[in-house]
Amino acid sequence: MAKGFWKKVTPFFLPFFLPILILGIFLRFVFLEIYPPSLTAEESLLAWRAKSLLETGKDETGRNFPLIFSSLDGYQLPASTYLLIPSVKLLGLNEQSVRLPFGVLGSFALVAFYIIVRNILPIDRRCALWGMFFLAVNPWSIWYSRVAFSAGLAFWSFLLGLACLFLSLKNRFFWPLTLFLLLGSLYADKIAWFFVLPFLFFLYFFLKRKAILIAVLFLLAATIPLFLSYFNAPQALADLKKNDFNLFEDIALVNAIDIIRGEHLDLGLPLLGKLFYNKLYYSVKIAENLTKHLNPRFYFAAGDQNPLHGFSNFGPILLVFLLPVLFGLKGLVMQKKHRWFLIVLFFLGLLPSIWRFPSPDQEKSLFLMIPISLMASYGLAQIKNKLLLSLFLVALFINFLVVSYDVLAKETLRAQEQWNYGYKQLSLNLRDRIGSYDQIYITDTYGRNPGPSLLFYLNYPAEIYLEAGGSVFTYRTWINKIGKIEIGNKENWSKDKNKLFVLSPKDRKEKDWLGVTEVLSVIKDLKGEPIFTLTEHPNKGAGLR
Amino acid sequence: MKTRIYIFLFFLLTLAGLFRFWRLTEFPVSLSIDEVAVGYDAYSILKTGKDQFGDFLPLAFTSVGDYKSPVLIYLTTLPIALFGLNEFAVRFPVALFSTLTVMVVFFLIKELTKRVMIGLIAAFSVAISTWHVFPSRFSSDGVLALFFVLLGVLCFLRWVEGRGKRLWLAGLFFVISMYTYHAERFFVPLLSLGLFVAYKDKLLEDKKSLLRAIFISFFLLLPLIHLALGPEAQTRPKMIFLSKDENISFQLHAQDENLTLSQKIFDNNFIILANFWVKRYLNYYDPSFLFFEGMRFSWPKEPDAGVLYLFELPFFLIGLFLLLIKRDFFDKRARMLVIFWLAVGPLPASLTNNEQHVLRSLTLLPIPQLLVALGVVSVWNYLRKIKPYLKYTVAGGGLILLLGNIIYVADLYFVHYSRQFSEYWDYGLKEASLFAWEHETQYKEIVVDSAFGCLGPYTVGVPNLYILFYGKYDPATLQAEREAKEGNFGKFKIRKITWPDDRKMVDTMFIGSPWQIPLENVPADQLLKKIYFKNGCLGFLITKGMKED
Repeated sequence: MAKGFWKKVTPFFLPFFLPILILGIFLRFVFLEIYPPSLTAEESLLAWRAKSLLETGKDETGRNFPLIFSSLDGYQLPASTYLLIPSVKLLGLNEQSVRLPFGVLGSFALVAFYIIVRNILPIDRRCALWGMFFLAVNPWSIWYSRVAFSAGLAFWSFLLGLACLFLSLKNRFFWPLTLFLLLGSLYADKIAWFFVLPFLFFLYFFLKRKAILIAVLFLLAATIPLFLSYFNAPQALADLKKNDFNLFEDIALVNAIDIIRGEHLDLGLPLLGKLFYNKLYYSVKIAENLTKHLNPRFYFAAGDQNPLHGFSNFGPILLVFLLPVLFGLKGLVMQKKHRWFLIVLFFLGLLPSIWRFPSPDQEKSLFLMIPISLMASYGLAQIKNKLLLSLFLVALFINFLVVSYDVLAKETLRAQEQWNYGYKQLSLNLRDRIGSYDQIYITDTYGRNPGPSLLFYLNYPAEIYLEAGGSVFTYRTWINKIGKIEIGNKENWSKDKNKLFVLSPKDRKEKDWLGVTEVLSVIKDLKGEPIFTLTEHPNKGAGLR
Repeated sequence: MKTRIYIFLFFLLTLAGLFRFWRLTEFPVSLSIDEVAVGYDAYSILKTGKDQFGDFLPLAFTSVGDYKSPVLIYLTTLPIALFGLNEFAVRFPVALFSTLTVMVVFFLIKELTKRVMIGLIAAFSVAISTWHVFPSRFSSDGVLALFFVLLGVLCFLRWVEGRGKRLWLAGLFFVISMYTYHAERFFVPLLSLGLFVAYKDKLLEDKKSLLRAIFISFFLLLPLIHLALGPEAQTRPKMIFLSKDENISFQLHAQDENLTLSQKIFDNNFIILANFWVKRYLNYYDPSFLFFEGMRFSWPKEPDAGVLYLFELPFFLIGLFLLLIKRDFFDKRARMLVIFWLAVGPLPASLTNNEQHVLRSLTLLPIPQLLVALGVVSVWNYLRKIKPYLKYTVAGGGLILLLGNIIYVADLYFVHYSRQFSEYWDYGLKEASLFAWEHETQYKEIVVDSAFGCLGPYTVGVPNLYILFYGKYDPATLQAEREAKEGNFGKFKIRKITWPDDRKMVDTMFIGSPWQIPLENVPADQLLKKIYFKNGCLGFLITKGMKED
């Protein structure tokens, strides 16, 4: 029987499946030291927190193995932190240990997607192979496999869970793994809250399998502790508004309505103003955000242009896939069964992104990768003409090279500050000097949230940090003191005695400081321009004016 | 049946006329620079046979340095002869041809779909379309060119169906459209290619007609080709080409820059521009542009309108779906043509230096309206199957939504747009010009500064053209005046005003913005007039110089 199986599998496994998988893995790990050029503050915090939990059993706020963490820009769900504990334990606190688990999950997800396409579009193997290939080579999926972002974990975990679910329907053995992975997705990021349960509920109606309904009920029950922890956290609603529904927080919209209404008042037509320009305008904005997700420019040309969400000069999907996706869309909507499946999948996928400003948001709409991949795989599987296929592959190769060149040669320079490039070098520099000074003052004008980056790159002992008080559990943590290091608050910097100052050219009064201090070291960015200047008073210990 | 269709068509034309002609001279709030330039050049042609710079019956008008296409200017001579040199005469031809476009759209869509109802709904959609109405209310040659393109396609389709006997007529209208607007010079050859591919069987069947049409078109195009090789026709395209866009120009490599081999291959200017162009091109399919804020009737973030009405959105999506999926509404060739048109329509606009340009993207019309019509018809067909009371309730609700949407857009356009953007229409220069002419005899010299604006002197206008236009200045005298090319004529001098020095010039009137003539430095006896923009911001001051004691 085994012989028969291999005979059946080998013709597609060796020439297609395996090369695609290897290509996907290669693209997820190659040049990882060059791009992304550094760890973001969020990634650094994630890893350092994992180390803290490993060493002390407490997070940076001193709580024992909590379900909700306070991140820099809001509360963070727990899965990504706990995922990093084994890798930090095994590999130590470094960039590889942070990003490796995400790369591994992203690679496994390629196989998972093959299984998913085989079950959703049971046309032929080619379709599933194209789906796997699409996921393997597209910037969107490559990106979220190369960075340690919780949205990525939610997505990969869901794909793996969904693949296992399809396997579970044939073999009960997979149920525990299915539930664990789907739960992992819900515990990873809030975007999964919008998508996972409604999708599974829809899948129950679509496949009419009772087991799926039971799984939904189980997941719902198992997520209750997370919901309780989240909504019991201080200012949880403020966090929700700021990070997931910030459209309603946009003061510019309120002002805009007031301006237009004011003009009607001036003209003596207040009723017309009230009739057309009121809170209903939010529903128009939501409808606009929703339809913005239909703009091909977002997917194939520009994305949301946020370098922390992908390649800012290109779309999350390679341009050459535009036509296959359109043909796939056409092919799938012609089939009534797939039409509704696709529409529901698309609607649920964009749901987390439509309450945001700006929208579409490449990270929040990550689940849209599923319907688009399905369209692409169906469209590509329809190409039977060998010449056309060869042309497509040549175009894809060129497209890929152009994007790769831009990413490796230009994007690293464009987006290095957003990526907190330079804090690693600064930390290495500080490590040798930290014992020689009473206090170290570091500017906060360069990059985003220096605290976690310094904790990470200094490999700061968790115990010492927590003994000094740690940080506060609030929906917006701000780490501005790490032992001797004080970040920001430049107006309170003490200018006497044995101090080290780290300044940036972005500081308005850097020149005044440099005029009276002695430059010890300059840290440069990838363009060779200074980003940090380490200074002290020339007569060390004598104090400054 | 035919009578009913003609009654509907008459109703549509009346409606289209109402949308285009109602308070035509008041909205937009002022003639734009291009409009006064067109008006005065037409006046000059009418009076002297030469443009304002003395060129005899030119094919490219120097105008404001942009070498305008000739058709609109020559067409404008007729209403100027009839109504005189005024706002109505300048705006009349475009509004008229725009109204007639509605009729052409009806016949064109009817030819494409073989359904009267779809033709009527598409024509209705064009009749009320913000995308088409807005540029029809000022003399924009894009609207005129669209009329000729659609007429050309209509002639072509009628010839294909064996009802029109002359294919060369289609070619003739295409050529006229290319003489009318720059975008058509790029779009029409592409559309012709699309027509050829879609209907090649029929075209190759009657090679004689095809060759005749090609020969006549080519012959008529010769002057344009000759012109295209000269600097006149190249000026405008060079000015507005994509590479001039401020968002990309700084990323391009300088010509003398030393590039590495990898840069030459992967990071050359062609690739940089192509990548940028793709973003621009795809943005014309942005639903936000189409349905929410494409018209830019208000400042960013404020409520706005798309180039299509919001209530058309569901019908548009259904229409798109039907175009791709159902084969009921078109034959294979018509379907191919519609998809091709949908794809190449935004091409000319996407190659220029503005994002989502309403006027330049008119080449896409009437395809979106056709999709809306498909959607409406299919929804109506669906409703016909359900109970009558429900059918009429839904239809009534739809009509209320339609009316509400139209009032909303009209409010944005007539109330807020006019108020917020009056300075960008050079509002106030008419009043200033009329005042200057009224008091012209009392002064030896009238100095006008061309920079103005509410937040700073960021808008540089062409006030001399407004003065020429509203003063009906004799073109022959203007042509004879040697300084005319500098903008100076008669007693009028166009130059920067330096109030601390200029204020002492006796017998001189000054027209300038408060940025050049600070109100606080103008004694009451020197202040002749204050002109405000519609938003209440002080736009212009008219003062006189006075000897200091």
